[in-house]
Amino acid sequence: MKDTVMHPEPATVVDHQSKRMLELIGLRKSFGANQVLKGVDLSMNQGEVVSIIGASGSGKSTLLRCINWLETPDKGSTIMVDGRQVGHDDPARASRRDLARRRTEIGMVFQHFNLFPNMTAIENVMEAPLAHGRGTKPEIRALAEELLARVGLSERMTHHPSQLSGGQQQRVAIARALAMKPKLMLFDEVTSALDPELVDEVLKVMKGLAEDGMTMLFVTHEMAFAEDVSDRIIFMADGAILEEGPPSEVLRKPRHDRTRSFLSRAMRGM
Amino acid sequence: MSFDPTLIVEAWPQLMRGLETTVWLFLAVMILCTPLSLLVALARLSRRRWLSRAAGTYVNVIRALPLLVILFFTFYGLPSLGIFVSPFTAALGGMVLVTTAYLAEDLRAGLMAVPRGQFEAADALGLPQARFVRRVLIPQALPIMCGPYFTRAIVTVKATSIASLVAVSELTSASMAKVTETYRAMEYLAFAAVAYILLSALIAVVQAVVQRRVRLP
Ligand SMILES: Nc1ncnc2c1ncn2[C@@H]1O[C@H](COP(=O)(O)OP(=O)(O)OP(=O)(O)O)[C@@H](O)[C@H]1O
Ligand SMILES: [Mg+2]
Repeated sequence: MKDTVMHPEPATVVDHQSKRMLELIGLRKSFGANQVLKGVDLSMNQGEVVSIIGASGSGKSTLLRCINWLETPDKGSTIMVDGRQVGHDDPARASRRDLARRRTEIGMVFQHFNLFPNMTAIENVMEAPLAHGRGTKPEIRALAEELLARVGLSERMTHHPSQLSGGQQQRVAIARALAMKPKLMLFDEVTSALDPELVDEVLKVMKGLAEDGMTMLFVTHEMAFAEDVSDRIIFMADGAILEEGPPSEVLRKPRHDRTRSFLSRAMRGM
Repeated sequence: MSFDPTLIVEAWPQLMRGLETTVWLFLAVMILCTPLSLLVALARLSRRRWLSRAAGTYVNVIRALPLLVILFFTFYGLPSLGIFVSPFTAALGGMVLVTTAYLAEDLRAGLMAVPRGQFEAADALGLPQARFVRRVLIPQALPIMCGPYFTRAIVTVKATSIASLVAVSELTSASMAKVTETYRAMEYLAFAAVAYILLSALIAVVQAVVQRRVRLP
Protein backbone atom coordinates (compact mmCIF):
# COMPACT_ATOMS: atom_id res chain seq x y z
CA MET A 1 0.00 0.00 0.00
CA LYS A 2 1.26 3.40 -0.91
CA ASP A 3 1.57 6.42 1.29
CA THR A 4 0.18 5.01 4.45
CA VAL A 5 1.66 6.05 7.71
CA MET A 6 3.41 3.15 9.33
CA HIS A 7 3.21 3.14 13.04
CA PRO A 8 6.50 2.05 14.47
CA GLU A 9 6.61 0.42 17.87
CA PRO A 10 3.67 0.99 20.17
CA ALA A 11 4.14 3.61 22.84
CA THR A 12 6.70 2.12 25.13
CA VAL A 13 9.01 5.00 25.83
CA VAL A 14 6.77 7.06 28.05
CA ASP A 15 9.05 6.78 31.00
CA HIS A 16 8.84 9.92 33.04
CA GLN A 17 12.44 10.55 33.72
CA SER A 18 12.44 14.25 34.36
CA LYS A 19 15.37 15.23 32.21
CA ARG A 20 15.08 18.86 31.17
CA MET A 21 15.10 19.05 27.40
CA LEU A 22 14.17 22.69 26.98
CA GLU A 23 14.38 25.62 29.30
CA LEU A 24 13.62 29.20 28.40
CA ILE A 25 14.47 31.83 30.96
CA GLY A 26 13.28 35.39 30.46
CA LEU A 27 13.06 35.09 26.70
CA ARG A 28 12.56 38.48 25.17
CA LYS A 29 12.44 39.49 21.54
CA SER A 30 11.88 42.90 20.02
CA PHE A 31 11.58 43.97 16.43
CA GLY A 32 12.71 47.56 16.67
CA ALA A 33 10.54 49.19 19.31
CA ASN A 34 7.96 46.41 19.14
CA GLN A 35 8.51 43.92 21.94
CA VAL A 36 7.00 40.71 20.69
CA LEU A 37 8.12 38.36 23.48
CA LYS A 38 7.94 39.85 26.94
CA GLY A 39 9.97 37.52 29.07
CA VAL A 40 8.81 33.97 28.46
CA ASP A 41 9.78 31.22 30.91
CA LEU A 42 9.13 27.70 29.83
CA SER A 43 10.56 24.30 30.53
CA MET A 44 9.93 20.93 28.97
CA ASN A 45 11.01 17.50 30.10
CA GLN A 46 12.24 14.80 27.80
CA GLY A 47 9.37 13.16 25.95
CA GLU A 48 6.94 15.91 26.77
CA VAL A 49 4.55 17.21 24.13
CA VAL A 50 3.51 20.82 24.46
CA SER A 51 1.16 22.83 22.23
CA ILE A 52 1.15 26.57 21.97
CA ILE A 53 -2.10 28.25 21.06
CA GLY A 54 -3.03 31.89 20.90
CA ALA A 55 -4.29 34.64 18.66
CA SER A 56 -2.50 35.72 15.52
CA GLY A 57 0.35 38.03 16.36
CA SER A 58 0.67 36.84 19.95
CA GLY A 59 4.26 35.73 19.30
CA LYS A 60 3.93 31.96 18.90
CA SER A 61 6.10 31.68 15.80
CA THR A 62 8.62 34.12 17.18
CA LEU A 63 8.92 32.00 20.33
CA LEU A 64 9.64 28.87 18.31
CA ARG A 65 12.05 30.68 16.03
CA CYS A 66 14.00 32.08 18.96
CA ILE A 67 14.61 28.60 20.33
CA ASN A 68 16.85 27.70 17.38
CA TRP A 69 17.94 31.29 16.87
CA LEU A 70 16.26 31.77 13.50
CA GLU A 71 15.36 34.99 15.28
CA THR A 72 18.05 36.38 17.51
CA PRO A 73 16.66 36.76 21.04
CA ASP A 74 17.19 40.01 22.89
CA LYS A 75 20.21 40.33 25.09
CA GLY A 76 19.76 38.62 28.44
CA SER A 77 17.50 35.82 27.22
CA THR A 78 18.57 32.29 28.03
CA ILE A 79 17.72 29.22 25.99
CA MET A 80 18.84 25.84 27.21
CA VAL A 81 18.46 22.65 25.21
CA ASP A 82 19.43 19.41 26.89
CA GLY A 83 21.10 21.32 29.67
CA ARG A 84 23.35 23.46 27.49
CA GLN A 85 22.81 27.00 26.39
CA VAL A 86 21.98 27.66 22.75
CA GLY A 87 23.69 30.81 21.48
CA HIS A 88 24.72 33.31 24.10
CA ASP A 89 23.11 35.73 26.56
CA ASP A 90 24.79 38.40 24.50
CA PRO A 91 23.83 37.82 20.85
CA ALA A 92 26.94 39.66 19.67
CA ARG A 93 28.99 36.85 21.15
CA ALA A 94 27.10 33.92 19.63
CA SER A 95 29.25 32.07 17.12
CA ARG A 96 27.70 30.98 13.87
CA ARG A 97 29.54 27.70 13.84
CA ASP A 98 28.47 26.84 17.36
CA LEU A 99 24.88 27.77 16.51
CA ALA A 100 24.93 25.53 13.45
CA ARG A 101 26.04 22.63 15.62
CA ARG A 102 23.39 23.26 18.27
CA ARG A 103 20.69 23.61 15.66
CA THR A 104 21.24 20.01 14.64
CA GLU A 105 19.83 19.08 18.05
CA ILE A 106 16.65 21.00 17.31
CA GLY A 107 14.46 19.82 14.45
CA MET A 108 12.12 22.36 12.92
CA VAL A 109 9.20 21.89 10.59
CA PHE A 110 7.71 24.89 8.84
CA GLN A 111 4.25 25.85 7.70
CA HIS A 112 5.38 25.99 4.09
CA PHE A 113 7.62 22.88 4.23
CA ASN A 114 10.65 24.69 2.79
CA LEU A 115 11.97 21.56 1.13
CA PHE A 116 14.87 22.05 -1.24
CA PRO A 117 13.13 21.89 -4.64
CA ASN A 118 16.33 21.02 -6.49
CA MET A 119 16.68 17.77 -4.56
CA THR A 120 14.61 14.59 -4.45
CA ALA A 121 12.81 13.57 -1.28
CA ILE A 122 15.62 11.29 -0.17
CA GLU A 123 18.28 13.86 -1.05
CA ASN A 124 16.44 16.37 1.11
CA VAL A 125 16.54 13.94 4.02
CA MET A 126 20.19 13.02 3.46
CA GLU A 127 21.48 16.57 3.07
CA ALA A 128 22.03 17.56 6.70
CA PRO A 129 23.55 14.24 7.89
CA LEU A 130 25.87 14.32 4.87
CA ALA A 131 26.85 17.89 5.61
CA HIS A 132 27.65 17.01 9.20
CA GLY A 133 29.47 13.80 8.36
CA ARG A 134 27.04 11.63 10.30
CA GLY A 135 28.27 8.43 8.71
CA THR A 136 29.05 7.06 5.29
CA LYS A 137 26.81 7.78 2.36
CA PRO A 138 25.29 4.26 2.35
CA GLU A 139 24.59 4.52 6.08
CA ILE A 140 22.94 7.88 5.64
CA ARG A 141 20.95 6.59 2.69
CA ALA A 142 19.73 3.68 4.80
CA LEU A 143 18.73 6.07 7.56
CA ALA A 144 16.88 8.30 5.09
CA GLU A 145 15.05 5.30 3.61
CA GLU A 146 14.02 4.22 7.07
CA LEU A 147 12.75 7.69 7.94
CA LEU A 148 10.84 8.05 4.69
CA ALA A 149 9.28 4.64 5.29
CA ARG A 150 8.32 5.79 8.75
CA VAL A 151 6.41 8.76 7.32
CA GLY A 152 4.84 6.49 4.72
CA LEU A 153 6.77 7.67 1.68
CA SER A 154 8.80 4.64 0.63
CA GLU A 155 7.27 4.91 -2.82
CA ARG A 156 8.14 8.54 -3.28
CA MET A 157 11.81 8.69 -2.37
CA THR A 158 13.10 9.82 -5.74
CA HIS A 159 10.33 12.32 -6.39
CA HIS A 160 11.07 15.99 -6.30
CA PRO A 161 9.01 18.24 -4.01
CA SER A 162 7.12 19.63 -7.01
CA GLN A 163 5.90 16.11 -7.74
CA LEU A 164 4.52 15.61 -4.23
CA SER A 165 1.29 16.73 -2.60
CA GLY A 166 1.45 19.20 0.26
CA GLY A 167 0.89 16.44 2.80
CA GLN A 168 3.66 14.35 1.28
CA GLN A 169 6.01 17.32 1.20
CA GLN A 170 5.35 18.04 4.84
CA ARG A 171 6.06 14.42 5.75
CA VAL A 172 9.36 14.62 3.86
CA ALA A 173 10.12 17.78 5.83
CA ILE A 174 9.47 15.91 9.08
CA ALA A 175 11.76 13.08 7.95
CA ARG A 176 14.40 15.66 6.99
CA ALA A 177 14.27 17.19 10.46
CA LEU A 178 14.42 13.75 12.10
CA ALA A 179 17.49 12.79 10.10
CA MET A 180 19.73 14.76 12.46
CA LYS A 181 18.30 12.77 15.39
CA PRO A 182 17.19 15.92 17.17
CA LYS A 183 16.51 16.04 20.88
CA LEU A 184 13.65 18.43 20.41
CA MET A 185 11.25 19.04 17.55
CA LEU A 186 9.55 22.33 16.80
CA PHE A 187 6.47 22.48 14.57
CA ASP A 188 5.03 25.80 13.48
CA GLU A 189 1.50 25.39 12.14
CA VAL A 190 2.64 22.57 9.94
CA THR A 191 -0.83 21.74 8.66
CA SER A 192 -2.09 25.27 8.06
CA ALA A 193 -1.01 25.37 4.43
CA LEU A 194 -2.51 21.97 3.61
CA ASP A 195 -5.77 21.09 1.95
CA PRO A 196 -8.11 19.76 4.66
CA GLU A 197 -8.02 16.20 3.33
CA LEU A 198 -4.19 16.14 3.67
CA VAL A 199 -4.06 17.30 7.27
CA ASP A 200 -4.65 13.92 8.90
CA GLU A 201 -1.75 12.11 7.28
CA VAL A 202 0.64 14.69 8.73
CA LEU A 203 -0.99 14.73 12.16
CA LYS A 204 -0.77 10.94 12.25
CA VAL A 205 2.99 11.11 11.72
CA MET A 206 3.30 13.67 14.49
CA LYS A 207 1.22 11.57 16.81
CA GLY A 208 3.44 8.58 16.08
CA LEU A 209 6.46 10.66 16.97
CA ALA A 210 4.88 11.78 20.20
CA GLU A 211 4.11 8.19 21.10
CA ASP A 212 7.72 7.31 20.41
CA GLY A 213 8.79 9.68 23.12
CA MET A 214 10.01 12.61 21.02
CA THR A 215 10.08 15.91 22.88
CA MET A 216 7.81 18.15 20.81
CA LEU A 217 6.76 21.75 20.95
CA PHE A 218 4.22 22.86 18.46
CA VAL A 219 2.13 25.79 17.46
CA THR A 220 -1.19 24.68 16.11
CA HIS A 221 -4.70 25.70 15.31
CA GLU A 222 -5.82 22.07 15.36
CA MET A 223 -7.45 22.10 18.78
CA ALA A 224 -8.68 18.50 18.68
CA PHE A 225 -5.19 17.30 17.82
CA ALA A 226 -3.62 19.46 20.51
CA GLU A 227 -6.03 18.04 23.05
CA ASP A 228 -5.33 14.50 21.87
CA VAL A 229 -1.52 14.47 21.93
CA SER A 230 -0.39 17.23 24.28
CA ASP A 231 0.74 16.75 27.82
CA ARG A 232 0.43 20.47 28.27
CA ILE A 233 -1.13 23.41 26.46
CA ILE A 234 0.18 26.93 26.56
CA PHE A 235 -2.01 29.89 25.76
CA MET A 236 -0.06 32.92 24.64
CA ALA A 237 -1.32 36.48 24.54
CA ASP A 238 0.66 39.61 23.71
CA GLY A 239 4.03 37.94 23.86
CA ALA A 240 3.58 36.22 27.20
CA ILE A 241 2.24 32.94 28.51
CA LEU A 242 -1.15 33.73 29.95
CA GLU A 243 -2.21 30.26 30.92
CA GLU A 244 -0.76 26.76 30.85
CA GLY A 245 -1.72 23.33 32.01
CA PRO A 246 -3.04 19.97 30.85
CA PRO A 247 -5.45 20.09 27.91
CA SER A 248 -8.35 19.11 30.13
CA GLU A 249 -7.87 22.34 32.06
CA VAL A 250 -6.72 24.89 29.51
CA LEU A 251 -9.07 23.80 26.74
CA ARG A 252 -12.03 22.70 28.83
CA LYS A 253 -11.86 24.88 31.94
CA PRO A 254 -9.86 27.98 30.99
CA ARG A 255 -9.22 30.37 33.85
CA HIS A 256 -8.84 33.57 31.85
CA ASP A 257 -11.44 35.41 29.86
CA ARG A 258 -9.04 35.88 26.99
CA THR A 259 -8.37 32.16 26.79
CA ARG A 260 -12.09 31.52 26.90
CA SER A 261 -12.92 33.94 24.13
CA PHE A 262 -10.03 32.68 22.01
CA LEU A 263 -11.20 29.10 22.50
CA SER A 264 -14.82 29.88 21.78
CA ARG A 265 -13.68 31.08 18.38
CA ALA A 266 -11.06 28.42 17.76
CA MET A 267 -13.04 25.42 18.94
CA ARG A 268 -16.18 26.26 17.06
CA GLY A 269 -17.43 23.01 15.58
CA MET A 270 -15.37 20.79 17.84
CA MET B 1 26.41 52.61 -54.97
CA SER B 2 27.32 49.03 -55.48
CA PHE B 3 27.87 46.20 -53.05
CA ASP B 4 30.88 44.12 -54.04
CA PRO B 5 31.02 40.88 -52.06
CA THR B 6 34.38 39.95 -53.61
CA LEU B 7 35.94 42.62 -51.43
CA ILE B 8 34.98 40.58 -48.38
CA VAL B 9 36.40 37.44 -49.92
CA GLU B 10 39.70 39.21 -50.62
CA ALA B 11 39.93 40.55 -47.07
CA TRP B 12 38.72 37.27 -45.56
CA PRO B 13 41.92 36.29 -43.68
CA GLN B 14 42.24 39.71 -42.05
CA LEU B 15 38.57 39.90 -41.16
CA MET B 16 38.61 36.39 -39.73
CA ARG B 17 41.63 37.21 -37.61
CA GLY B 18 39.69 40.15 -36.24
CA LEU B 19 36.69 37.93 -35.58
CA GLU B 20 38.92 35.41 -33.89
CA THR B 21 40.35 38.05 -31.58
CA THR B 22 36.82 39.19 -30.73
CA VAL B 23 35.83 35.64 -29.85
CA TRP B 24 38.91 35.11 -27.68
CA LEU B 25 38.50 38.40 -25.92
CA PHE B 26 34.84 37.67 -25.29
CA LEU B 27 35.50 34.14 -24.03
CA ALA B 28 38.33 35.25 -21.77
CA VAL B 29 36.15 38.00 -20.30
CA MET B 30 33.26 35.63 -19.60
CA ILE B 31 35.45 32.87 -18.22
CA LEU B 32 37.08 35.26 -15.77
CA CYS B 33 33.96 37.26 -14.94
CA THR B 34 31.65 34.37 -14.20
CA PRO B 35 33.33 33.14 -11.01
CA LEU B 36 34.47 36.63 -10.02
CA SER B 37 31.01 38.12 -10.33
CA LEU B 38 29.50 35.25 -8.37
CA LEU B 39 31.95 35.96 -5.58
CA VAL B 40 31.16 39.68 -5.68
CA ALA B 41 27.41 38.93 -5.64
CA LEU B 42 27.82 36.62 -2.64
CA ALA B 43 30.01 39.21 -0.95
CA ARG B 44 27.33 41.85 -1.41
CA LEU B 45 24.84 39.55 0.30
CA SER B 46 27.24 38.61 3.07
CA ARG B 47 26.33 39.24 6.67
CA ARG B 48 29.83 40.59 7.17
CA ARG B 49 29.36 44.31 6.88
CA TRP B 50 32.83 45.19 5.65
CA LEU B 51 32.64 42.60 2.93
CA SER B 52 29.28 43.65 1.55
CA ARG B 53 30.35 47.30 1.76
CA ALA B 54 33.56 46.64 -0.14
CA ALA B 55 31.72 44.72 -2.83
CA GLY B 56 29.04 47.39 -3.06
CA THR B 57 31.58 50.16 -3.40
CA TYR B 58 33.40 48.30 -6.16
CA VAL B 59 30.19 47.74 -8.09
CA ASN B 60 28.97 51.30 -7.72
CA VAL B 61 32.25 52.95 -8.66
CA ILE B 62 32.90 50.77 -11.67
CA ARG B 63 29.31 51.02 -12.84
CA ALA B 64 29.58 54.80 -12.85
CA LEU B 65 32.53 54.86 -15.27
CA PRO B 66 32.30 54.55 -19.05
CA LEU B 67 33.91 51.37 -20.34
CA LEU B 68 36.07 53.41 -22.67
CA VAL B 69 37.48 55.47 -19.81
CA ILE B 70 38.39 52.29 -17.95
CA LEU B 71 40.06 50.83 -21.05
CA PHE B 72 42.06 54.06 -21.43
CA PHE B 73 43.13 53.62 -17.82
CA THR B 74 44.37 50.08 -18.34
CA PHE B 75 45.89 50.91 -21.74
CA TYR B 76 47.57 54.25 -21.05
CA GLY B 77 47.50 54.30 -17.27
CA LEU B 78 49.22 51.01 -16.44
CA PRO B 79 52.34 51.73 -18.54
CA SER B 80 52.69 55.07 -16.77
CA LEU B 81 52.85 53.06 -13.55
CA GLY B 82 55.58 50.94 -15.07
CA ILE B 83 53.30 48.00 -15.83
CA PHE B 84 53.59 46.97 -19.45
CA VAL B 85 51.03 44.63 -20.93
CA SER B 86 49.84 43.90 -24.44
CA PRO B 87 46.83 45.82 -25.76
CA PHE B 88 44.82 42.59 -25.60
CA THR B 89 45.67 42.10 -21.93
CA ALA B 90 44.94 45.74 -21.15
CA ALA B 91 41.56 45.50 -22.84
CA LEU B 92 40.85 42.17 -21.15
CA GLY B 93 41.70 43.59 -17.74
CA GLY B 94 39.48 46.63 -18.21
CA MET B 95 36.57 44.60 -19.54
CA VAL B 96 36.81 42.06 -16.72
CA LEU B 97 36.75 44.91 -14.20
CA VAL B 98 33.60 46.36 -15.74
CA THR B 99 31.73 43.21 -16.71
CA THR B 100 32.27 41.67 -13.26
CA ALA B 101 30.50 44.64 -11.70
CA TYR B 102 27.47 44.42 -13.99
CA LEU B 103 27.30 40.66 -13.91
CA ALA B 104 27.53 40.64 -10.12
CA GLU B 105 24.37 42.72 -10.00
CA ASP B 106 22.61 40.37 -12.41
CA LEU B 107 23.62 37.33 -10.36
CA ARG B 108 22.76 39.00 -7.07
CA ALA B 109 19.21 39.50 -8.28
CA GLY B 110 19.07 35.75 -8.97
CA LEU B 111 20.40 34.88 -5.54
CA MET B 112 17.93 37.21 -3.87
CA ALA B 113 15.04 35.60 -5.70
CA VAL B 114 15.57 32.35 -3.80
CA PRO B 115 12.85 32.28 -1.14
CA ARG B 116 13.70 33.13 2.45
CA GLY B 117 12.30 29.79 3.55
CA GLN B 118 15.24 28.07 1.90
CA PHE B 119 17.71 30.02 3.99
CA GLU B 120 15.69 29.28 7.12
CA ALA B 121 15.43 25.57 6.39
CA ALA B 122 19.18 25.39 5.85
CA ASP B 123 19.83 27.36 9.04
CA ALA B 124 17.48 25.15 11.01
CA LEU B 125 19.35 22.08 9.78
CA GLY B 126 22.66 23.68 10.71
CA LEU B 127 23.97 23.43 7.15
CA PRO B 128 27.36 25.10 6.86
CA GLN B 129 27.15 28.24 4.78
CA ALA B 130 29.45 27.09 1.98
CA ARG B 131 27.47 23.91 1.56
CA PHE B 132 24.21 25.84 1.53
CA VAL B 133 25.54 28.10 -1.21
CA ARG B 134 26.77 25.20 -3.31
CA ARG B 135 23.95 22.73 -2.82
CA VAL B 136 20.87 24.88 -2.31
CA LEU B 137 21.34 28.53 -3.19
CA ILE B 138 23.18 28.36 -6.51
CA PRO B 139 21.21 25.46 -8.00
CA GLN B 140 18.01 27.37 -7.29
CA ALA B 141 19.34 30.70 -8.46
CA LEU B 142 20.74 29.34 -11.74
CA PRO B 143 17.44 29.13 -13.62
CA ILE B 144 16.67 32.71 -12.57
CA MET B 145 20.16 33.95 -13.42
CA CYS B 146 20.22 32.43 -16.88
CA GLY B 147 18.33 35.12 -18.77
CA PRO B 148 20.23 38.11 -17.34
CA TYR B 149 23.53 36.23 -17.59
CA PHE B 150 23.25 35.55 -21.29
CA THR B 151 21.89 39.02 -21.97
CA ARG B 152 25.04 40.31 -20.28
CA ALA B 153 27.08 37.95 -22.47
CA ILE B 154 25.53 39.48 -25.59
CA VAL B 155 26.19 42.98 -24.30
CA THR B 156 29.77 41.92 -23.64
CA VAL B 157 30.37 40.46 -27.07
CA LYS B 158 29.38 43.80 -28.58
CA ALA B 159 31.35 45.76 -25.99
CA THR B 160 34.54 44.05 -27.18
CA SER B 161 34.34 46.46 -30.14
CA ILE B 162 35.47 49.22 -27.81
CA ALA B 163 38.81 47.43 -27.52
CA SER B 164 39.39 48.65 -31.09
CA LEU B 165 40.07 52.07 -29.56
CA VAL B 166 42.98 50.71 -27.53
CA ALA B 167 44.84 49.07 -30.39
CA VAL B 168 43.29 45.60 -30.25
CA SER B 169 42.72 44.29 -33.77
CA GLU B 170 39.39 42.69 -33.14
CA LEU B 171 36.44 42.47 -35.50
CA THR B 172 35.44 46.14 -35.57
CA SER B 173 39.02 47.27 -35.81
CA ALA B 174 39.87 44.86 -38.64
CA SER B 175 36.77 45.92 -40.55
CA MET B 176 37.49 49.61 -40.07
CA ALA B 177 41.08 49.10 -41.17
CA LYS B 178 39.76 47.83 -44.49
CA VAL B 179 37.28 50.71 -44.70
CA THR B 180 40.00 53.34 -44.36
CA GLU B 181 42.28 51.41 -46.66
CA THR B 182 39.76 50.99 -49.50
CA TYR B 183 37.22 53.77 -48.87
CA ARG B 184 34.51 51.13 -49.16
CA ALA B 185 32.36 50.98 -46.04
CA MET B 186 29.32 48.80 -46.72
CA GLU B 187 31.05 45.53 -47.47
CA TYR B 188 33.28 45.40 -44.40
CA LEU B 189 30.69 46.80 -42.04
CA ALA B 190 28.18 44.28 -43.38
CA PHE B 191 30.67 41.54 -42.58
CA ALA B 192 31.14 42.87 -39.07
CA ALA B 193 27.40 43.23 -38.54
CA VAL B 194 26.66 39.70 -39.72
CA ALA B 195 29.46 38.35 -37.54
CA TYR B 196 28.10 40.10 -34.43
CA ILE B 197 24.62 38.85 -35.20
CA LEU B 198 25.88 35.29 -35.59
CA LEU B 199 27.80 35.51 -32.32
CA SER B 200 24.69 36.72 -30.52
CA ALA B 201 22.65 33.98 -32.12
CA LEU B 202 25.19 31.43 -30.97
CA ILE B 203 24.98 32.78 -27.43
CA ALA B 204 21.18 32.51 -27.61
CA VAL B 205 21.52 28.87 -28.65
CA VAL B 206 23.84 28.16 -25.74
CA GLN B 207 21.38 29.92 -23.46
CA ALA B 208 18.53 27.70 -24.61
CA VAL B 209 20.61 24.58 -23.95
CA VAL B 210 21.80 25.74 -20.54
CA GLN B 211 18.36 26.93 -19.52
CA ARG B 212 16.95 23.49 -20.18
CA ARG B 213 19.69 21.88 -18.11
CA VAL B 214 19.41 24.07 -15.02
CA ARG B 215 15.63 24.09 -14.86
CA LEU B 216 14.27 22.93 -11.51
CA PRO B 217 12.43 19.62 -11.68
N1 LIG C 1 10.64 39.70 11.14
C1 LIG C 1 9.80 40.51 11.79
N2 LIG C 1 9.96 41.83 11.76
C2 LIG C 1 9.12 42.65 12.42
N3 LIG C 1 8.07 42.24 13.13
C3 LIG C 1 7.83 40.92 13.20
C4 LIG C 1 8.69 39.98 12.52
N4 LIG C 1 8.21 38.74 12.76
C5 LIG C 1 7.12 38.90 13.53
N5 LIG C 1 6.90 40.19 13.80
C6 LIG C 1 5.80 40.72 14.64
O1 LIG C 1 5.81 40.02 15.84
C7 LIG C 1 4.50 39.78 16.29
C8 LIG C 1 4.33 38.31 16.58
O2 LIG C 1 4.45 37.60 15.36
P1 LIG C 1 4.38 36.03 15.30
O3 LIG C 1 4.58 35.66 13.89
O4 LIG C 1 5.30 35.44 16.30
O5 LIG C 1 2.89 35.75 15.73
P2 LIG C 1 2.09 34.40 15.72
O6 LIG C 1 1.53 34.23 17.08
O7 LIG C 1 2.92 33.31 15.19
O8 LIG C 1 0.91 34.72 14.73
P3 LIG C 1 0.18 33.79 13.64
O9 LIG C 1 -0.84 32.97 14.39
O10 LIG C 1 -0.47 34.75 12.73
O11 LIG C 1 1.22 32.95 12.98
C9 LIG C 1 3.58 40.30 15.22
O12 LIG C 1 3.10 41.56 15.63
C10 LIG C 1 4.45 40.45 14.02
O13 LIG C 1 4.04 41.52 13.23
MG1 LIG D 1 2.92 32.13 13.42
